[in-house]
Amino acid sequence: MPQPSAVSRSRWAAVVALAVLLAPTGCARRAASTRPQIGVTLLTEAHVFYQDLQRGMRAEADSLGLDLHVVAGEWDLARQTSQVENFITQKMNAIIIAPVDSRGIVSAIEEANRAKIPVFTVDIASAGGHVVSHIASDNEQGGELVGEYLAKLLHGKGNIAILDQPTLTSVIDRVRGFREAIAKYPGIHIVADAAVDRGLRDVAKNKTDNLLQAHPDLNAIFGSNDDCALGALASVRAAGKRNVLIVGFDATPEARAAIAGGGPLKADAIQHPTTIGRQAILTVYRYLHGDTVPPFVAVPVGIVDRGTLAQQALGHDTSGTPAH
Amino acid sequence: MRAPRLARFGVPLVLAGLVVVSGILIPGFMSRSNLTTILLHVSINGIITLGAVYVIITAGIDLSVGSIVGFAGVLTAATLTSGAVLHLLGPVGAAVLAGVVGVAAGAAVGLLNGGVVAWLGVAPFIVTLATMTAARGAARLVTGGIPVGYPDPSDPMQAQKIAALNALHTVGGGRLPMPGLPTGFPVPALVMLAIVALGGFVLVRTRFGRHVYAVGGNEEASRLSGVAVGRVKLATYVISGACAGVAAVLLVGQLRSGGPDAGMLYELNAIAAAVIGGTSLFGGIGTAWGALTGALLIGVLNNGLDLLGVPSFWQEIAKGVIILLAVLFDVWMKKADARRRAQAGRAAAGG
Repeated sequence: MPQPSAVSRSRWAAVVALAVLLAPTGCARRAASTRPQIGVTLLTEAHVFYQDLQRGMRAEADSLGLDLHVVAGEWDLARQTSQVENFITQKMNAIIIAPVDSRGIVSAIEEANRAKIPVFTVDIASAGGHVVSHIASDNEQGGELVGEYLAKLLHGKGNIAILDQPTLTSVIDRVRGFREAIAKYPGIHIVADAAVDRGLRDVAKNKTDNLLQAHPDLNAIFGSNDDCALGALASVRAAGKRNVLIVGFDATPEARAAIAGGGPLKADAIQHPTTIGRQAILTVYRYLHGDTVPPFVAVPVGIVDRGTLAQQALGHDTSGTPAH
Repeated sequence: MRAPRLARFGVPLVLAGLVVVSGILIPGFMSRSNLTTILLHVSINGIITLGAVYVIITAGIDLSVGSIVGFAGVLTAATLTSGAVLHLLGPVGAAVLAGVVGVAAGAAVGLLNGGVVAWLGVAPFIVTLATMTAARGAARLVTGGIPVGYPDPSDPMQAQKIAALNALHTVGGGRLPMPGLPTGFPVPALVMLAIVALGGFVLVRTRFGRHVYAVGGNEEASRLSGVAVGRVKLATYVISGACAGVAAVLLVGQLRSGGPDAGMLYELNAIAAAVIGGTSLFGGIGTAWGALTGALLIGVLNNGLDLLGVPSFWQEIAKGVIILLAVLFDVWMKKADARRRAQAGRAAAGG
């Protein structure tokens, strides 16, 4: 009977295809190891900052002999909570979280607390639960740094808009520091504080388009991350408003290029995500070896502008001037 | 002559295959605690998918469910942590009221969807696309873009608010003690199983259920034979909205937080699960059991890929490919089924 056999052949083809697809992912798994197993759930993997952070973590983990399992919540709190629960059922020795939402992650952290698995947070702090140590940039100091810088560029007067992400603690701290620095200059007014959905560049561009429309007398924009700053840059360029100054946060390669090119983007606070990643793993390692670790490990933030970038190009060793 | 009903077992077979392969390849996958974790993670999507199946059987579509999860969720969380409500009803009362508010908010958006689809004759895709956008906006407006939930230490009512969040947490994040399960059985999974069982019963055993199939199978014929087509359609959107509302309440309970951006893209997960579970986008075909298997398939994939530590970009690709293969496999099974039946028919006629 030719017909049924043809059908069952194609059915087997589907089964084989499924198996083939699953096989390599299965083989990729290392044999069960006696090294400490660390579960890491990041906010996203689709961002240079977290890619650098992850690179720092992996380098440090390799040198200290820890096994990392890295996943990402990709902006979905429910998904990140699931990932923490997976780490709990896998009986990880420690869990590192870069929370999607400071308050929302509390339940997941408490679940890990109940399972007696130590929890560490990086970059973004949790609003509750027991966290052994939080490793992050000093965001408030960074915001203050760019605020000071911008105020000097503006000679103490002008109108500023902030591209904000009010759901993220790290950004809340940045903006607080920025506002504190600006408050010392009575001639400078913050005329708008726009929330940029997920800190995405296209959203930031659209917001800036509208800001320029609503505030024709705008002198400067503070982008709370580099996608915000670069979105603002695109908008300012498209509108032909070259006299609007922009400062950003993170100093991604793209932002550095824009600063070095001498356009409206003048300076960036630079975090050191690779250092944060390394510090996080080091802190976990020390804790697992019985050392006491501080509840907050602050990684200093620097600032880059055209001058520091030119110095760097000359071979001087700075990836940003350390503050304080 | 026993007709081989392969079609019904296509997706369950893929699911079983996936579970066996994962069990062999992934240490810890088959542990009881991991299997119950999967059920917990599937429950939100499973409940939304059941509602989606009702709508899709009538040849409709509901794109608003993800936004309803956000909208109903923030209303649930806001009710739960409202000072006035806490004063009046106490933590447990607030939790009950918050649950009612969440489900009612979902049903209300569903009522709006269904009303416009049924009585104004606008295409469901457009209507629910509009409410998807509007409900997300409303969720952000109500909260100012900031998740509602865990109170600040400076909040004077911090203790009561946490008590109320914990009260709803016993449903959304609770575990029923069960022999053989050290961590217990997750309550949301129980809710999902109950809703799927009820949904299946209504579809198969009630007159309303038969009407849902009739409207999707042939709308004109059902109208001519006296089915209140408009009312049936309206009801399916209300069911879909209410299911999303239940999911929202469970999610707020589990996370103790109602985020305006919660539930983003959940509508696509639900539609994917419905289609994987054998629901036809052309209407007339679909089951509650299919909703469950479809949601389980996606849940097992998510869990397996996470346990393997597959990077998220590869996860997305792998998920897309496996979903496509699962549906193709199902199509092949159905073709095989049809051919065998045709052959059996010929054999009967010939001999």
